[in-house]
Amino acid sequence: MIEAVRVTKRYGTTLAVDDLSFTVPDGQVTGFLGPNGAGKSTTMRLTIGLDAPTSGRITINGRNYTEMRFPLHEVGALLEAKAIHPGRSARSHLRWLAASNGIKPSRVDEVLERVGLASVARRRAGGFSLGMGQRLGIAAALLGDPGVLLLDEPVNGLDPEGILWVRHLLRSLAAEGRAILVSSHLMNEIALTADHLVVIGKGRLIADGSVRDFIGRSSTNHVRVVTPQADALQRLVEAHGASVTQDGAETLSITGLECREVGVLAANNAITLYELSPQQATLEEAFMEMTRGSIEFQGEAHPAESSVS
Amino acid sequence: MTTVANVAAPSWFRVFLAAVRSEWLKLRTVRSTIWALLVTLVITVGLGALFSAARVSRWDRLDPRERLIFDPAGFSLNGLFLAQLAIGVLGVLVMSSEYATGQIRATFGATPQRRTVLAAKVVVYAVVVLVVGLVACFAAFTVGQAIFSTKHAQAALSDPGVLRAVLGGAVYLSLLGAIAIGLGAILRRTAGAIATLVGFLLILPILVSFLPDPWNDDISKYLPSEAGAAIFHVRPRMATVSPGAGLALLCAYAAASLLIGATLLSARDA
Repeated sequence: MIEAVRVTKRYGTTLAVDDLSFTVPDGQVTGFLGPNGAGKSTTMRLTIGLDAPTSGRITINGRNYTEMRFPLHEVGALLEAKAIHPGRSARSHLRWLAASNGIKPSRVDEVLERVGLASVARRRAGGFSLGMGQRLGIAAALLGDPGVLLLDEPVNGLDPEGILWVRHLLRSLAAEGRAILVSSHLMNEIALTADHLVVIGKGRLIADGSVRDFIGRSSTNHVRVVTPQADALQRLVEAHGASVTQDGAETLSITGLECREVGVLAANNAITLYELSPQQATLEEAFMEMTRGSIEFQGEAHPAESSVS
Repeated sequence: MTTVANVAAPSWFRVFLAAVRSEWLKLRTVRSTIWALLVTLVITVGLGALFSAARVSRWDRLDPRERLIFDPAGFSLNGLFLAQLAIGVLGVLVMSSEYATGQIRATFGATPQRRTVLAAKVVVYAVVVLVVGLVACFAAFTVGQAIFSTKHAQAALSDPGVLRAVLGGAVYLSLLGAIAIGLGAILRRTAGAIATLVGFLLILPILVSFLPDPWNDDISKYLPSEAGAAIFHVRPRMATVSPGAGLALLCAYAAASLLIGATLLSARDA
């Protein structure tokens, strides 16, 4: 389990992480989301002791990372693919990592097999593609068979087959009881992989809870109705506090009322319905809405406007 | 998956030994190591032989006084002046290449005890350089003396101070390697650390020599390169410290470089 308690990190005058608290529970995949520059990578660096927090603390299974001896048995991390010496082979890279934590060399071949790099194990890592680099990084994280995994953008650069592989890998590692923190900018991927979400923006916590709750709170959840009496229904539901947008002559999008309530209202007022269906926001829509105020780098067109249907 | 509560925390010494094994694997699995060590060997022996042959060719024209103070052992080791650069550059790279490639994060992630990592790097590199240096210095000495023997000017290992000078050449390289690792840890950038090293070894002595008497000699004998020369020469040249003092000076330089490096490594974000 990872526990961050009121963590703040300042680089000079830049506040990278601001009074951040969250928990990454065992046995679950926790998605770590936030716009670029939100402080995700910084938080991961703080977790494994590469940077020291200005205040607050992050503990893994109750201990500071920097107090651990042979930490690879407890924590595996992929922070940056290809942060390896280009002249060394994949196998040599894992060999020195294993040696540093008293892990037997045979384990190196096991993890190379597991990530599908066994056939290129003796090739110089400098010639690896980004995807191969990611696989090598995942192999390094798995080396000590740790109960806690931190993966920063692990599917970046992977092909569809590789993305699917990572999804299954993370699910099965979590099923074995491990705590997994994974960041990604691919929202659909996180929606399919994660059980739990930690969302940050400008270094502050925006949400810490289940994926279901996070999406459920989005205002883009609505009820879609197709009816020949659109105007009558609109007046009716608006009188009951809902807001309505008309998407064509017979189609309404209703927010603020559940399907069941809309159906009862329509029946009581003898309004014919052709279609009545709940429309759930995607994780992406919910994310855009939540982080609207905390985007560090923004293009001309507001990203939320371009992708919310 | 390891159940944490059942694993006894390894002792500091086990962490250090594991780091030494790890650093040894790192050092021998990159090509630059092989190249730098090979260059050290070739330059020490080859350049030493070249200088020695040049001296022999002018031997008959030398002033008798010059022949009298001639130091055949020290002279055969003159290739060290260039070879020291290869050892210094590789020493800097032992630390700075980790920062350049980002691998330092994997290193400190695996061993959060950063001073232990530095100690392991120094031990591994100093021992490797000492071994290579011994081979190079004994070979250069042997080749040099064979050349001087044509003029019956050779030294023997059993002559006073000769064995000390030959061993001293290897010890000098080894300590220089430690200084370079410290510089790499302090500056983290390859270019800056190499420039600093070259400045200390080659440029500072030249600048100091332009100072007015007697400051030039008083200062220059305390510079690392002159302290080293005191160790691997039999007859002290003008204005050098004694071999013992030279060794002590070099150890002090290495200690200073490594202590500053260790302090900064612990204090800074990786």
